[in-house]
Amino acid sequence: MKTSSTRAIAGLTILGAAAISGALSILSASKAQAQTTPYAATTPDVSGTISDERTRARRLFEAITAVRVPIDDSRVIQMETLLKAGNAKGAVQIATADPLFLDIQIRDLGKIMSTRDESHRAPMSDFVATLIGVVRDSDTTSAKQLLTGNFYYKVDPTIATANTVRSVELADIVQSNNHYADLTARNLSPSAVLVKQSPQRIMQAGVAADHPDAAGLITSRGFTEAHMIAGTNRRMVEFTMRQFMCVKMDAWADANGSDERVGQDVTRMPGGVNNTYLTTCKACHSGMDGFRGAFAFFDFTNNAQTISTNVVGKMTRNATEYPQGYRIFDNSIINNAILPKNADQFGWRSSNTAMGIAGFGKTLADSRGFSRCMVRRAFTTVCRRPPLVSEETLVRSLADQFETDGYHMRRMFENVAVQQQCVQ
Amino acid sequence: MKKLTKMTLSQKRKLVAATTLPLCAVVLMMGFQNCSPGVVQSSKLASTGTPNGATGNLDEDTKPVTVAYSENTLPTMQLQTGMQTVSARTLTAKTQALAKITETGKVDTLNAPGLMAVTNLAGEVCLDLITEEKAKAAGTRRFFNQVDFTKAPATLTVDNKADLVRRMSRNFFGRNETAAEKTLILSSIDGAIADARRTGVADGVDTEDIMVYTCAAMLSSLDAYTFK
Repeated sequence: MKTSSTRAIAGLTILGAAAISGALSILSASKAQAQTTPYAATTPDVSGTISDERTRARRLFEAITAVRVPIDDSRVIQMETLLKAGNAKGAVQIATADPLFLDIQIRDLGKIMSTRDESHRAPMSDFVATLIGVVRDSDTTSAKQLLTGNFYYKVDPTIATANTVRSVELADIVQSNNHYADLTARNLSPSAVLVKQSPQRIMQAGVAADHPDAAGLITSRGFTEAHMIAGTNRRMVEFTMRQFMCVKMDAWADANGSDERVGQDVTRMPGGVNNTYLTTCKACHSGMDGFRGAFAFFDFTNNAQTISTNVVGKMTRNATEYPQGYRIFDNSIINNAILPKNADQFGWRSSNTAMGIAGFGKTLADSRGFSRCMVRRAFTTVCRRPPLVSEETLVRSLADQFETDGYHMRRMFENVAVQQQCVQ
Repeated sequence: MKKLTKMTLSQKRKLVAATTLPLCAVVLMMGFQNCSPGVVQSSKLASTGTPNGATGNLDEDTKPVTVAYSENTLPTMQLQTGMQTVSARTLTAKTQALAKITETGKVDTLNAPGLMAVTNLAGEVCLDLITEEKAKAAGTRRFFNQVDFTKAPATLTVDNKADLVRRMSRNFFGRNETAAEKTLILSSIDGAIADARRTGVADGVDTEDIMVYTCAAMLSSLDAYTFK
């Protein structure tokens, strides 16, 4: 080969390598940019006119994302154009497609739902990450899987490694919240870095194992850390109903319900008066203890959700309080919240009996109450107030649409936001 | 905060007044009308809650009002100023502010420590913004196009200041400033300029301080972080 040819080949090789290297570095830089929540830099248009549609577009964007936005933001201008064309749904879709919707609004909704304090200040956790993931992946993931799915969301392993997010399964995910704490500490955008991981994992005999009875967010580490720790696992029932059916205990307590499943640890003579039990204690325990069996084999110990081969001790403690009461021996459940007081608000559509947490989750997910609750949560989040009594028809209509849309969470938020009663 | 500590007592008082007076006005307007959390509504709503959280009535002429809560305050400021990243100092200020800023965003949870925490955070974000903008050519800046950071603040014309107020108003308030607001803010800036004639301090430092003051006052005013 001639010297000139050799030089030409060498030159081309070097140029090619440089081009590939350059392209990779650009790709890498843009990927790094995409890994943090984007905050667009808006240059104000000092003499621009502000139409009513522009103002409404701004309010809609803020309602969806929970962040104030400049009036000249490019997304707001796009939404304004769509609003002027009478396409409110299209306008809202611009906001729900924005990372801020997931990274701020849905994140904070998840934080409220994940802990006992129901606070925005709760930490990022597998519960919050999974809610964000399900909403992001609404096109392929039904919201029913929030209560039935056998998966969770975690940081993409490649991104985790690049950003030193601790990811050892047992130490950082099953037995601690390190993985999700790092997601926040590294300032990563959840909507950009989370990937679905299946199955859920749990601690069994000191090692990580597949969860044998997974039920979406109910069996997430975050939720069980908040409600399965100590106690008698009744709090798991109480808060599952509270977060996913939108009812506090007193709102579904029913003294007319059966007390066949009320545990041995519940005295039937509080203060020596049986009537107090019949009119007060039984009302809550009827429904709660009916479902409690779902958690018969589970506990939260050693910083992890654990499973035992036998009914865990806390399910049968204080048995001498009323030995004739129900003693849990398996994970069967009976739905006692079926009488007139609760029939309408829950709208059950599955069998009154089931097995395990998965059965409990499916019972709830199949109900009309779940769909309505998701609508109420979206309404309260986006419209910044709970729906009025007079808006119950609207809630039910939106819930029906939610089901028709295949339990599509993002679309449901959009349907709520465009309501006249919500953002004006 | 380094820059805020450089302010004169008079400037600090004005900053506090500029941010607390609107709060007092809102509290006076809404605080005694039986506001339910986060919602400005009539007194007949009291105790009309239903099992699933629905409320009884909402007057036709009332609208929900909430403010940014602890977790979305900094993201709001970042989007308003267009700051993709903020300094470590600002992140520290955010951490310190989290426990003071309202946890829920409900209007009836606003209080003085929370307001001061928002003001402090706004000061840090504004300092980051000014640092970023100073490094750019004037014509490419988003807010301080007509500000010369090498000259004394007294060289700023009324038009220069009005341009600044308009830019911040559109990005922070999401609207143009009203005539009354413009008069008030310009007067406040002029007052700060009058107080800033310190001996031995470079002209540009005074200008920067006054820009931090103006930006922080507007970014931490209720209209910048209220959702309504």
